[in-house]
Amino acid sequence: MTRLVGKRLLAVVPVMLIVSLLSFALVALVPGDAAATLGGPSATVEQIAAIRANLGLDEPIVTRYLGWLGHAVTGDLGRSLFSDQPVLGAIGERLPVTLTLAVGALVVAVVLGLPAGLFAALNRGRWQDRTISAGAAGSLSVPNYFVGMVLIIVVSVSFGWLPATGYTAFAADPAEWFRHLVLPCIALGLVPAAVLARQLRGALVGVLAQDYMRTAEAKGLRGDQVLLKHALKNAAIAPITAVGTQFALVLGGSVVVEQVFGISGLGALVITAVQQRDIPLIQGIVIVAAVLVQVVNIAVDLSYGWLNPRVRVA
Amino acid sequence: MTASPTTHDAVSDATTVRPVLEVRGLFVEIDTGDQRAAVLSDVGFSIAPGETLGLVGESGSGKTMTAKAIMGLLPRLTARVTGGEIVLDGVDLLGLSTKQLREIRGDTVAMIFQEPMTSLNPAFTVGDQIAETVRRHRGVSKKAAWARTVEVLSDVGIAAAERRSRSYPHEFSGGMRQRVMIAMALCCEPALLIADEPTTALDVTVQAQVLDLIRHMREALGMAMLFVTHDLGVIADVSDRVVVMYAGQVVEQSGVLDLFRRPAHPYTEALLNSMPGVEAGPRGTLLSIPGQPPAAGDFPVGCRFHQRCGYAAEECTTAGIPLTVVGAQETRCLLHTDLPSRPPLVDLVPEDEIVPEVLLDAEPREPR
Amino acid sequence: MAPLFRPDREPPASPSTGVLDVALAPILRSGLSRRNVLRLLAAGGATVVGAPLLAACGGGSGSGAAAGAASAPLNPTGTLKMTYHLAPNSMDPIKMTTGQFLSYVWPMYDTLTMIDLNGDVQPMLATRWDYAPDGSALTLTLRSDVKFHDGTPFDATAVKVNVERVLGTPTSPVRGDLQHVTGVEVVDPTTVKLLLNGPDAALPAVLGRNSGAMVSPKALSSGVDLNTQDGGSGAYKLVDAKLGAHAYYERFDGYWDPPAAAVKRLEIDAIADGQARLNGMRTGAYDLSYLTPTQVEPAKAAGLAIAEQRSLWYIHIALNWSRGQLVDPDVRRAIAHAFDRDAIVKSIYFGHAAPASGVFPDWYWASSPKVPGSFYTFDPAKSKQLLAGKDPVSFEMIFPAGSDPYPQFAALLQQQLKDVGITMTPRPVDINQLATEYSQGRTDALLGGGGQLPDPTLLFRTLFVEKAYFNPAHQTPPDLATAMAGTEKSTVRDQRVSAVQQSVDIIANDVLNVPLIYPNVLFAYKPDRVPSYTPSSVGAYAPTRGVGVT
Repeated sequence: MTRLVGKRLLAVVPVMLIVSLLSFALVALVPGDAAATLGGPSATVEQIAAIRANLGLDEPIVTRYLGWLGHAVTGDLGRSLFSDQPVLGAIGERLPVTLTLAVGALVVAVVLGLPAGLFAALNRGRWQDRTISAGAAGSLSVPNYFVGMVLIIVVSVSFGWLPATGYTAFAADPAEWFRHLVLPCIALGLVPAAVLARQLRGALVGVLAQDYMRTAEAKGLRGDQVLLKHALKNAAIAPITAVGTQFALVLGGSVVVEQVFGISGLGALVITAVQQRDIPLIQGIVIVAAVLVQVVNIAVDLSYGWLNPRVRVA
Repeated sequence: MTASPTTHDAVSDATTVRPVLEVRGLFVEIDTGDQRAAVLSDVGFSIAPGETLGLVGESGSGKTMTAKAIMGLLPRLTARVTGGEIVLDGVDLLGLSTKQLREIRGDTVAMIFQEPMTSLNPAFTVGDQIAETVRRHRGVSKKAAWARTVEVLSDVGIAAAERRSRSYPHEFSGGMRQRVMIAMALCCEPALLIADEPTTALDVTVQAQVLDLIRHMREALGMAMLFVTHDLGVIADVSDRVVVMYAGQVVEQSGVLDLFRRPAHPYTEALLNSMPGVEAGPRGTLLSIPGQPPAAGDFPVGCRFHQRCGYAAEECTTAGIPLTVVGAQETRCLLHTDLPSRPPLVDLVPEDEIVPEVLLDAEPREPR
Repeated sequence: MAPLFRPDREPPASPSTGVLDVALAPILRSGLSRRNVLRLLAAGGATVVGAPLLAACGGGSGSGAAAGAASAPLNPTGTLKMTYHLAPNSMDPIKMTTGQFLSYVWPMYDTLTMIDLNGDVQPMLATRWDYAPDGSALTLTLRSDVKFHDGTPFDATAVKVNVERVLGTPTSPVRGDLQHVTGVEVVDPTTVKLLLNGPDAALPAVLGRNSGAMVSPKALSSGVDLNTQDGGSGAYKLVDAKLGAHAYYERFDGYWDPPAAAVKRLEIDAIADGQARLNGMRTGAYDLSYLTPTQVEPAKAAGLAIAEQRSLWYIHIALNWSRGQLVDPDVRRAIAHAFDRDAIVKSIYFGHAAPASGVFPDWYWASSPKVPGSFYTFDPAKSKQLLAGKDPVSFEMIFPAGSDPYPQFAALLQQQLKDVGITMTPRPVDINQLATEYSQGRTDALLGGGGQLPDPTLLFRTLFVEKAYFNPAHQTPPDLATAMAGTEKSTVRDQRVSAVQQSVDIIANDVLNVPLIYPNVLFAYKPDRVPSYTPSSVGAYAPTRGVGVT
C-alpha cells in the first residue's frame, strides 16, 4: 500500500511539470500582458516598457518558465503581479471557500445520486427507474449556472428561504455558513449526482444479479445490510471513479457558479488572474488545482484496493 | 424429536412427527415477458426432523424454484407465489413479512448453492461474511461472532481457520469455498438446510469430500435437509426420501430404496435408465429420454410427461393426473390404476443389492 | 491606458445574450478609468465658489454622498452593507490599477483634497492650495487636528513621506499623475510645498485621488502590509480585507469630521456578476448596490430605490487616425455622422445615457459650446456625401470580448455604418489585451469607455498627448498639443477653460475619436434603510462618505 502511494506520488511530478509548462505557455502565447494594466491610465509608452522589463516580461518564454520553475521547486510560487501578495497566501485565502463548495457539491451528489441510483437499480425497468433516468439525463443537460439562477429566483428571491449571494466562514457563523452553501452546492452537485446515479444504477444492476447477493439474502441479512454493504461495496468502483472525475469538473464549474452566487473563491480569483495575465497567480492556481485533482485521483485509485481485494494482492 | 440418522426408510417418521417443513399446494408464476406462466403447480411434500429429502429432476423441472420459494428468494420483480403454504416449524412463511422472513433465513433455515466460486462476496473476508450472519441472528458481540466463525470454519475442515478466516474468497479453491459456504449456512445451526446442487460445480474428487462433509454435518447437527440435485447418484447417497419433479409438478415421492428398486413413475424410471452407472443393470441398456422437457407456459395438457413417455395412452393426454398413493410411494401416473395394459410395477434391482454404492461411483452427468 | 478602453461598465444583460455571457460578463470587465483629476486646478478653487484664485475653501466636513433627505433618524451604530462590481487588486492606494478602486480608498484614507460629487475639488487635509506665481511650486496648508488610526499625527512631514513614496515608485500606476512634481519641501508642520518643474493645473484634482491619499509614516516605516491592512486617517478603519472579495471597515472614533462616519460599520462586498448583486439586494443582504441599465426596471419592481446620475463617463470609438483610410478626416467625419446615437441610448442603454459628440458632456465646465452632444448629427446623407468619389471605406474595430453590452453595441454600430456604405469589421478581443492591441497599432479602432476623471487635463494625458501609451498615432496635431499644454500651464480658470474648449474643438473637428454616449451612473438602494443616495457625477465610483442607515 505504501509503495503504491509512493509510486503514484512519484507519477505526479511529471504531470505537474507538464501542467505547469502548458499553462505557462498558454498564458504567454495569448497576446497581451500585465504591463499595460499595471501601468495605469496615465502611463507613457516608456513607462510601460520599463514595467515590462522590470517584470521580465520581455525575456524569452523559456527563460521565464525556467526562472519560475527554479523557484517553484523550492516551494516559492512567487507573488501576484497586481496585489504583490504571495501567491500561496492569495490562494490560501480562497481555497477553503472553493474546496468547501466542491466537497459540498459532492455531498449533494452522494445524498441525491446514491439513493436515486439504488432505487433505480432496485426497480430496474419499471417506471421508477425510467423516471430517475430521465431526471438524470435532464440534470446532465442543464448547465450549473442556470440551475443556480433558478434556485436563486425561486428559493431566495421568491421565498426568501436562503441567501442568494455571498459566503460566510464557518468559524464566523456555522449556521450562516451552511445556509450560504446550500444553493451553490446544489447547483454544482446536480450533474455529479446524475452521473453518480447513472453509474451506480448500471453497476448495481450487474451486482444485484450476482450469486453472492443471493447468498446475502439467504443469510437473512437486513435489507440495508444486503444493499449498503454487500451490493454497494462491489458496485462502488465505477461510481467512485465517476465522482473522482467529477471533482475536477466541479472545481472547474465553481468558476461560474461562484460568479452567479457572488462568492469570492478560487474561481473568482482565477478569472481575475487570467484577465490580468497575472502569470505567477495563474501558475499557482493551476498547480494547486492540479495537485488537488491528483490527490483525488490517488484516493480513488487507493479505494480500488479496498473495494476489490483482488486488485490489492495483484 | 430427532430421527435416527441412519434410517433409510424414514417415511414412517415423516408421518408421525410434526415435520420441520411442509409444503402444500404451492403454485408459483413467473413473468416471461409477454405472459405469466405457472412454473410450479400444486407442489407439496414434507420433511421430518433429521430427515434428508432429495429433490430431483431435470433443469427446468422446478426444483430450484421450489427451493427458492421456501427461502423466499424468488426473483422479486418477476415471480410470485399464487397459492399454497410453506410451513416451517409450524409457521407459514408465505404469511410473513419480508422483515420477518429475514429473521428466519440463515437462522432456522439456511441454504447452500451450486456455485461456490461466485456465491461468496469477493469484497469481504470469508470470516466477515460468516460472522455477520452470526451477529445478525445471535446478536452476540463481534468477538464472540468471530470465535464462532473460526469454530465453524474449523468444523467444516478448513485448516488454520483462525488465519484463513481473514482471507478473501479469491484466495480459496472451489472446494474450500463450498466448505466456507457450508460453514456459513451452518453457523447458526439451522433446523433445515437446503442444499441446491452443492457439488455439481466441483471437481469429481472434491465432490465426494464435500458430500461427505454435508452428510457428516447433517448428522452432527441433527438437522433436516432438502437436497436438490439432478444427480440420482448423489440422491442415493444422501437421501432418506426422494421427491421427483417434472414440469413444475411432483411426479413421484418415494423412499430412496423404493425409488431405485421400483420407480413408480415412468419419468423416474427413465431417469434411472439414463444413468451411466446402470449400464449393467437388469435392463441392460442405457436409455436417454427422448425429446425435451417442456418450458414453463408450454406445459402439455394431461400428463405433462406424456409426449416423452413410452407408456403413454390416450387417457394420459386429456386431463391432469392426480398424485396417487401406491403402497409407500406416491406417483402422478395412471399406470397403477386405470391402464390395464400396463406392466406391473416391478423391481429394477433385487432387494439385496446395495444400489447407492453402485451409483455413487457413476460419472455424474445431466440426464437427458 | 488600458482603462480607457476597458468597458467600464457592467454589462446590462440584454435578453439576447446567452446565460453564460450574463454570468461571466461582469467579471470580465474590471477596469475603469483612472485619471481624473482635473478640474481643479488652476482656476483654483475655482469650481467651488467661483473664487478666482486657487485657494481653497475652508474646512468643514466633506461633502457627503448622502444628501440627507431627512426622514427616519440615522442609526449611528448601524452597518451599511453595499456591493460593488469591482474588487481592488490591492488596498494600497498607489498600487491600484484602476480609478474606481478609489471607492475602497476613500473610507479609510483621507486625501489632501477631496473630489466632491460634482467632480469639483474641495479642501480636505489641505485647507487651501496656492500656486507660486511662476508655477514652480504648489503650497498646501494642512489641517492640524488630524491623527492617523495608529495615533501618528498628520503633518507636513507625512505629506513629504507620502509624495516621495509615489515619486520613488516608478512602476506605480499613479506615478504619472505627479509627473510635474520634482520634490517636497516641509515649510512648517502645517505647510508643505510641492516643487514643480512647471505649472500643473491638474494637480489639486490629482491630490484628491490615489497619490493624494495619506498613509501613516509609521505604518510605512514599520512595514505594515498595505495590500491588505490599514494605514490611513480616514473616517473608517479597515478591519478586514480579502483582496478580490471584500473590504470591511469600522468607524474611527478619533476622526476630525465625525459626520463623515455615519455608520459604525461599513461593508463592501465585491460581486462581479450584476444579477448576483441584484439578487443580494432583493434578498436583503445589501442596502446599496451598483446597478446596470437593464436592472433598473427589475430593481424598481423589487421595491428598491434608484439613484441615477449623469456623469463624465463616455463610450466612444477610439480611432487610430494614422492608419489606413482613417488618415482621411472626411472618412472619420463620415463615420461620426453615421450613428443614430438616440437609437443607441434607447436600445443599448435603455434610456440611461445621453448622446455624446465631445469628450465632455454639455453640463460640465470643460465642455465646449461648439461641441454639444448633438455635434455629430445622425446624417447618413452627409456621410455618403463625404465619402463620394472615395474608395469604399472599410476598417476593423476591436471591442471587449464577452462583455455586455459591447457585442450588441458593436453589431449595432456595424449596421449603422453599413447603411452609409462603410464596411466595419468588429473583432472581439480579450479585455486585457485591448489596450496593447490598439496601442501597438494592430487595429484601426476600438470601442470602449473612458472619462470618469475629475480634470480635463487628465483625460488629455491618457488619450491625446503624443507619448500617451494609448495614442497609437504617436503624434498629436500641433495645434492640439499647444492647446492641451495650455490646459495645464494656466492656473487661471478663465484662461484654462478657453484652452480646454479649444482642445475639445480641435478633437471634435479633426474627429480624433468618435464619442457616442455618456452612460448614467446607477445605484439601487433600499429606501427603508438608506434615506437617500447620490452617486458621483465623475463616474461609476461608490461614494460612502456620510452615508448612513436607519
